[in-house]
Amino acid sequence: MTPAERRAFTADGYVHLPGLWDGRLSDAIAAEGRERHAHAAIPLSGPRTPVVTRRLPRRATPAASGPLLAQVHLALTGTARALTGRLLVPTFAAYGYYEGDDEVFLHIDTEQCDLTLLTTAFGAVGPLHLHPGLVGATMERLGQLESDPEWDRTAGTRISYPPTGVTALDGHVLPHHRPGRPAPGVQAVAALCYRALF
Amino acid sequence: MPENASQALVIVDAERNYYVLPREAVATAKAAPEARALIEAHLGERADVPLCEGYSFAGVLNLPAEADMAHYTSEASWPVASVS
Repeated sequence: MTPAERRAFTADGYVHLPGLWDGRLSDAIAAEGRERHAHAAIPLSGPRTPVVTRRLPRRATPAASGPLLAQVHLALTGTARALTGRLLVPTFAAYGYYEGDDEVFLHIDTEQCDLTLLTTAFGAVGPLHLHPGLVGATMERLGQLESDPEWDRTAGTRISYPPTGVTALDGHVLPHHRPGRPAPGVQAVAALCYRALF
Repeated sequence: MPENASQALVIVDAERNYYVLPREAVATAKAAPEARALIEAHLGERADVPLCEGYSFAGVLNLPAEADMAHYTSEASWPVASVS
């Protein structure tokens, strides 16, 4: 963790942390992600963006956990603390599966995620769009934007996760979405969340 | 600590390595008032060594290993749309 990375996270609400692991671990995460797909289910918890009926997605994003991802999650606790300067503890780690489309509605992460680490588990997931101009907006407001056909879904700061590392995101504060695009097959993102103990 | 961007708390180890904690880092680390009892319960020997500007060194926090997993769940969570 460099001072420049810490400053970037504080200033921008996100920072890329490449090179945290090697290609073998990337391959192992991809393999576990694919294997766990059969066990994935629509999660009972997580951010809920309230939208009008006509904006409901064709299908929700199933998610699953896995023992390797849990190990990576715990192993990165020190990195998470060093980045934020806070006494963070792990809350949950999951693979989220996008089947045919990688859309994510505009949202902020729950209180389980004072810090969210994101990486592509397998496949090609499109850029995440960050919205610093919407910091402080409620989920209801974000849902109104998602429901508005005039809202520019191409807006926001586009970020792509590094292949052998993570993008660290202040996800509970910084609204974000992925416009979505048709994508054949299945893609998966891995999310590792931490919250401050105090 | 006053609103002065150039100020920082500095601690030093036995080998005279300095650790400079800028005001912003101290502010970020401010614990919620409701955490006070838990913090005090896990401080080792209370020090209360005055530093400056009303700050004191309170001691070293030693949390049990299980505290790291206090909020852990194996249940996956993910963003989902709902009807408004």
